[in-house]
Amino acid sequence: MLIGIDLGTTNSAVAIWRDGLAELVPNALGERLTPSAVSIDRQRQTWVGAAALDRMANHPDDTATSFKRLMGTDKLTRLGGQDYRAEDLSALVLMALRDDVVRHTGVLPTQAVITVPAYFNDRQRKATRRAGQIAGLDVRRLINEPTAAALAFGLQDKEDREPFLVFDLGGGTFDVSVVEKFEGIVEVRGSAGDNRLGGDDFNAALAALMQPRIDPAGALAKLPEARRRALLFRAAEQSRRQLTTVAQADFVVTFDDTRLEAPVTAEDFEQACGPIIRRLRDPVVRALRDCAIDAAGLSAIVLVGGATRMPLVRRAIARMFGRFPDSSVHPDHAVAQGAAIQAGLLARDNALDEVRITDVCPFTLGVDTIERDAHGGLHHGVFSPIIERNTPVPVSRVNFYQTVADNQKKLQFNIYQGEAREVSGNIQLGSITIPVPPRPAGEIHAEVRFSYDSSGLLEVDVVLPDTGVTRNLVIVDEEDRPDRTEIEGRRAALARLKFHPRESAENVAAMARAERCYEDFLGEERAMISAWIAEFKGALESQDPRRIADAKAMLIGNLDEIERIGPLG
Amino acid sequence: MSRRRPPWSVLGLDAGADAGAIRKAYATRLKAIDPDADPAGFARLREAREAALRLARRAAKPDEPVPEAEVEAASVGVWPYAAPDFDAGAASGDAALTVNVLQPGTGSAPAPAMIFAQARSAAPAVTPIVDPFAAVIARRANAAPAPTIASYPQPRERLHALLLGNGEGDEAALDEADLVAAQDCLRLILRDAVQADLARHDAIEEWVADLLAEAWPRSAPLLATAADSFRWEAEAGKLGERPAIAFLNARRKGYRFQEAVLDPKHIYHKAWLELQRPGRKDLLSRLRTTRSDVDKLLTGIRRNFPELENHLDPDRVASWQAPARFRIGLRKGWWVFVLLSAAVRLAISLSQPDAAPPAQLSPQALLVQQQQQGRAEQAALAAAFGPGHDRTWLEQRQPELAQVIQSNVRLQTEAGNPDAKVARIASDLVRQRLFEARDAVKGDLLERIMRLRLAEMKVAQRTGPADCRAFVQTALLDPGKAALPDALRRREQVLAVELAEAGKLTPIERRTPRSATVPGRLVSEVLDVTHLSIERVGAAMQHKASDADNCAVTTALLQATLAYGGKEREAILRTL
Repeated sequence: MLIGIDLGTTNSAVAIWRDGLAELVPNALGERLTPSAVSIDRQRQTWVGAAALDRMANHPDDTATSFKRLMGTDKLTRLGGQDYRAEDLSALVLMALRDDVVRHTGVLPTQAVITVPAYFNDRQRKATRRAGQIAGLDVRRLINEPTAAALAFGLQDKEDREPFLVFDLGGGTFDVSVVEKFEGIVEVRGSAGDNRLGGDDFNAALAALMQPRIDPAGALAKLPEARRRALLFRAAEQSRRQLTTVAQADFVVTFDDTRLEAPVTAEDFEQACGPIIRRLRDPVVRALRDCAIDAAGLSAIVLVGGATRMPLVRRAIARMFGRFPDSSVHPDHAVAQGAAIQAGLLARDNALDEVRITDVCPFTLGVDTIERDAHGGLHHGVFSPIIERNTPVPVSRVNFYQTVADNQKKLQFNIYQGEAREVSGNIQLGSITIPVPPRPAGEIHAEVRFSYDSSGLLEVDVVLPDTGVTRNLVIVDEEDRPDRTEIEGRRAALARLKFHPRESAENVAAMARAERCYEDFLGEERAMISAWIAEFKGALESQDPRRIADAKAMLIGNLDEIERIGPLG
Repeated sequence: MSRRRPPWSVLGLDAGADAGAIRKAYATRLKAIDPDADPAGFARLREAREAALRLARRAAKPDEPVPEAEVEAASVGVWPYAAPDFDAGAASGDAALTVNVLQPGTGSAPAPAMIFAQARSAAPAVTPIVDPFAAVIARRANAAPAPTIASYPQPRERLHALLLGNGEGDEAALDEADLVAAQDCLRLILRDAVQADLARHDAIEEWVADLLAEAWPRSAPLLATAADSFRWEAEAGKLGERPAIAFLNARRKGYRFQEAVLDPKHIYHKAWLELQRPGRKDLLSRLRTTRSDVDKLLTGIRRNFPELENHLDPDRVASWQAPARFRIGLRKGWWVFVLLSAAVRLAISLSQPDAAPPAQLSPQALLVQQQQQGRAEQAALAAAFGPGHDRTWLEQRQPELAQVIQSNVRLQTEAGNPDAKVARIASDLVRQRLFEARDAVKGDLLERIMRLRLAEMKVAQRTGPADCRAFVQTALLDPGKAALPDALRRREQVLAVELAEAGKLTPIERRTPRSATVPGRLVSEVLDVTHLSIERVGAAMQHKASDADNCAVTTALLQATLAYGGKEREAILRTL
């Protein structure tokens, strides 16, 4: 069974195509969004989702969030005394989503369509594929997030549209795509983005603004860094959400027996986020320029991603485009829905008329060359593009190069992906060497052909027309080869973790939330929460399902009450 | 190569179809192919669609220019778009934003501003031309502008006038008042841009970039503000970097480098200061910095920030870059050599004393000496060959040997050595020749020579391993340690006479080392006699063991070989 998964920085979701609809699958807590958070303690007990997020405040050293930003790197996260790569943590989230589908449909899914930011580079994409494999899912296709949203947008709409712009501001990544839909074709005209821009950055800016205000004495600086960061981050997240609806919110940090707070206004927030808002402009301009489309000629601006709910962002978008954005898609669900549609297309579901998706290559691909500068010296490491960015894929392009020295023995082409003029600023994908016959400089020409297909596979062919010698290279990640042992090893390592049984998921989440609230409040409230926790624990020990359900309902009710009222005084 | 089909035929349409039909045709055709399997076909289809749409657009609106997303670079001084005036509320931001922007310190970092103002005030009195690059860069103090800004009705025109007002050639720096006015204008323009939509923002950005680039270096103080607002540094080094912005980014990099290199801890700091000193390279220059540092600094500056070279003194740069001049001309070199060698030769000859002429003896002394020599010679020959053999006899048979003995005798007597010693030297010499003759003789003579050798070897062995070794190598016996018994001496003499008669006492130029394989029987005999281990015997046979071992083994082997009857006998004997 094919499922569509939105693996996001802050939240993930899974959807299936059923009965002519893209349907999001609820998780064990009944929510359609599962936070991308993982917590593992020293006893290898694992929490995934909302419970893990709640544990962030109390156990920052055992909890990881926003690990999507580490995909494609070798950075390790230490949880509960063990090191995990970003792929492992993503695999845990994927496994939880898969279990949700089993619960919901009774069928175990074996294949998936996973979304990635359009601006994810080669390494990051391969890491996502590996995460799927570790989770036991065959990744049939990786689809770009804006394209998925475009699929979900106006699906019912059979009319042709002028190109529209998808503005996807997620938790950690920002993507812009200009898409055109007509006659059952979804055509991406151009993509641009920023892999380091998202809702998290707004939180960081707010935290940086408020930290000196709430804590002039510097008490926070004495805490260990992980804890301090987690506390500030969560406070920023809460304040930010509040500022979505009200003009002034409280920025509150509670730890040990101290409580630091200060008010923050929407204007303060907007000013602090000025530089971030400015950064939103660049990818939009780049995408439009590459497509040769005027902003005035767009038919709609489609907002995707939770961060686009912020009035700050909406105002900026309105300013940029001179109009109000479209709100017919659900910003949190659109990407998962699009992934489900793609899954349905792959499964050839009859309810879907044939829809063809054509995408573009978001990065420039080329090789490094040597240039002669004005003084006659040689300048190494100059990037020579072969496939310009935003060319429709599949694409095949050729460029010609020649030798630079006499009697050169070989030509070595290093293949790079990126936008910088010097290859030192780009990412190297591979290298190909071809021997050349000895001749004076400039007499030997080589023809280099890049072929990039829609699944993101790059093939390089080098031909020397003089001798007829050819060399071929397919850019395959070493770890991408069917290295069963490696994947099996990671899977086995994750299988050793202890998971809570699904039935107790709600209880676990309730307990995690209660413990977090305990930390959040002081004095009287803290004592009250402590009593509630003790009661709940007693009910759990009794192992009486009725009693447990009642105790849980009461606990949740109490927590809702106390969180709604907010701290007294 | 097939001719490019016109777009209409690729799409299967009639010429002049409209956009909708083009899209439909493209869609149908796209669904019919698999792009991954046929990328060339897909590319053709795509191109055809683009071309067809372009044609359709042009056909639909022949008079209007094709809309371009790329904003044309604004011509100087003219606002490209009929944008509403600043005062008319184009910037429809809320009041909060307006207030914020007008407050000091918004968004502008104190930059390499005031370069020129400083230059003016601190310029050395000598330079008649105010060269904006002449002064050392100084950081501007954080002087905040006045809280109230006079509102400029036309900030862009004003800014343009300030920067480029007096024509293109005005490179003088902005003075205080002008600078403040320019910065205020720029701030207003930037605020407008921030609140504008994409197209307008783009237009303003291009206009500002072009203006700053054109008014360079007068516009330098404004660069940082504009660059931070538009985030030009993010575009630095990218493929799509626009030319004006690339220029401004490079200038900014130059400033940064200039500030960095003034820090004493910078690696090229010393080289930088050195190159700024006026005049050519002097003796102290070498102490201040090295040639490689200077070279690296200059390469870096020339490649990345060429304008910084204006800060350096050209004479000094040239003198540092000149190649080392130590090439003396060839002709001069030759004469120098000749003179030098002559001088050396002269010096040597002067320092050497002349060889003293031989002292003249009186005739009587000469006679005595001659008699003495004759007597000594007689004794020597008798010692070597036995009595009854004189020089005449030897001269007839071995003239060369006679000559050698005679000259030896003469030397020894002149040196005043007693006759006995002379005789001994002669007999040693003869003995050497005798043993050397074993290479040239065979049969019975060889036998007798080797037996004599063995006997003498034993004598030598008795005195000690060192003497034994000396005997084996040189055939010399130290009389102080071991005197040859008379019987042996007689045998030696008889043998010498025989060899002299046979003319075998000739000197050998060079004795090539001989080697022979020793049969196991002999080896076992040697082992029995010497009671040494096989390793030591083996080493000794190669003369690699200790003297005692070598001696013992050689002696034993010689003895065994003489008793041996095999075919290797002669070969082995010759090696011993």
